[in-house]
Amino acid sequence: MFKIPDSFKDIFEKYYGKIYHQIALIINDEDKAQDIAQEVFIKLIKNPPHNDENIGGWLSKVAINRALNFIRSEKNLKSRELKVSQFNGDFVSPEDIAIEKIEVDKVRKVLSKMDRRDMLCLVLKHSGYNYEEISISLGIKKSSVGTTIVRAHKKFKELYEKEV
Amino acid sequence: MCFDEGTLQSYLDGEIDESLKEQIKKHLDTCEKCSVKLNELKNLNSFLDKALKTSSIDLNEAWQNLSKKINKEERGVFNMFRKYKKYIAAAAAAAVITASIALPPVQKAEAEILSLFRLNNFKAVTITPDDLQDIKNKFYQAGNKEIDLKQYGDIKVIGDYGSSKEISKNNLDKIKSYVGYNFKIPQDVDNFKLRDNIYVEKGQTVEFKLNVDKINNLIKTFGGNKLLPENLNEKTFKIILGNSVHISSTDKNESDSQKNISYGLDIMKTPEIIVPDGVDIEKVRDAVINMPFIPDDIRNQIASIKDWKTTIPFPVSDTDDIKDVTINGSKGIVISKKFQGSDILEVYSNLALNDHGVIYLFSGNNISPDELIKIAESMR
Repeated sequence: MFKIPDSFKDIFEKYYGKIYHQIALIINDEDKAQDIAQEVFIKLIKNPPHNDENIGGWLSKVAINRALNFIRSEKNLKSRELKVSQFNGDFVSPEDIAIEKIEVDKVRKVLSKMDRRDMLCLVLKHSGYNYEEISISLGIKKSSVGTTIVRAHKKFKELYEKEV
Repeated sequence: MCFDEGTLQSYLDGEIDESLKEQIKKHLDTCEKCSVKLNELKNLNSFLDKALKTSSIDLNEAWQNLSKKINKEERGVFNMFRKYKKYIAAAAAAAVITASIALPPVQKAEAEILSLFRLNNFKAVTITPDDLQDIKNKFYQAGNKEIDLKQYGDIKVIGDYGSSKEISKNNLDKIKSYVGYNFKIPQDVDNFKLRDNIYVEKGQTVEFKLNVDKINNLIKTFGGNKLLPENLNEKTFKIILGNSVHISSTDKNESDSQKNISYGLDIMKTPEIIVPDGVDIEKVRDAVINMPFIPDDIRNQIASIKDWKTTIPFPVSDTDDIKDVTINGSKGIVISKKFQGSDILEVYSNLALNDHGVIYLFSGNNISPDELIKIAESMR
């Protein structure tokens, strides 16, 4: 009975990948990241933002909230052993998976040591959001996004190199 | 003059004004220090890009999954009601029609306001695909292939959307004081347990102003002669949707299997419509019901609603089963639908109930109407 408006699909195509990427980085669980990304879009349908709101900024804000909530309620821990995402039938050796996992865990660890706002800024930028969206999502001035990015980049690299 | 790193980063990301861009470009040609710095930033950038990679996803598959979920969520008729709440801006016409049909007087809330209507009852109004086609045809014949709703009125939603808050169900008193009214919740029956987190959301007010001349012209184009009263022009109607509570149950299967057996419950105070002073609401209703592009069978259904001043017309489709119910002395309506899923017959039931001015909207996944009634009866 319900038809999804076309514009919704446009928004989906434009933002789904970014949102997924952003959540996957924050929560380090790619399966769950898909679930949460979908929830974000369901929220978009159910409780859309005001007309004049920046849709990218709004979406990424919702995604951050959901992802942080998920981390907080990490009683899901037990179900998060070694979760291997589907690789479309390509063969991936267990070693590869293990190596990749160590690498991913390291990134996650570094991110978790950073100042939250810097971390989120980094995550959003590398998920493909533009400065305007980042500034809305994080509530910082658009003119200071560049500076925040530089600071976050440096901090990340520093921590990353310290991490064994 | 050299540029700071933040500016160079913006330059790198293409997030800078054209004029400044030119300046920086020129400067980089001559300043080695800045060129080196830019290079460093570039390297950092690609290092981070690599480090923060995630595995790629199949967008098509994600879209399919999402569509499935949305269909499951949306087929609940009551979600249409929620939509009513949220989507009113988009569905301007529908809102104007349905809302103005359902208007009733109680008290003077503000100086300029005459009537306050509380919507207490539910009445299903069946809309078939033929009806929709009929409306479309009428518009087509009248040469109005596309209607720009904006010109028929202004709709404004006041209140914050994104601000739902989680409170534990063990903190019921806190939830009640947050939303500002008392309500009941279902008990854990038949393995359905309430989830620990209850969501509360701040209410919204929808204001709308109609452009009466434009609407009347439209009615005339279709050969209608019952027009909206002139003095309605530019007057503001308000629909008040109060703070709401969302509760959901765990899956009876305790799994995320396809056959999800659970229910959700939305609770809110009965919505109110405030009609501006001096508006003859009977006339408005008359004009709305007689709008020439409304198919006769819908018109008759709406016209036959007796307590129209306190009734919310619920749009349902002709494949829904509808039943009036009384639960612990309160009146409600159950709407259910069966449909063939990929391997199993799925049943979706919805139940709306008004208990002392509080509306409860249950939506059940794979729950029969009777089961849902039982859950509603357990409310305390």
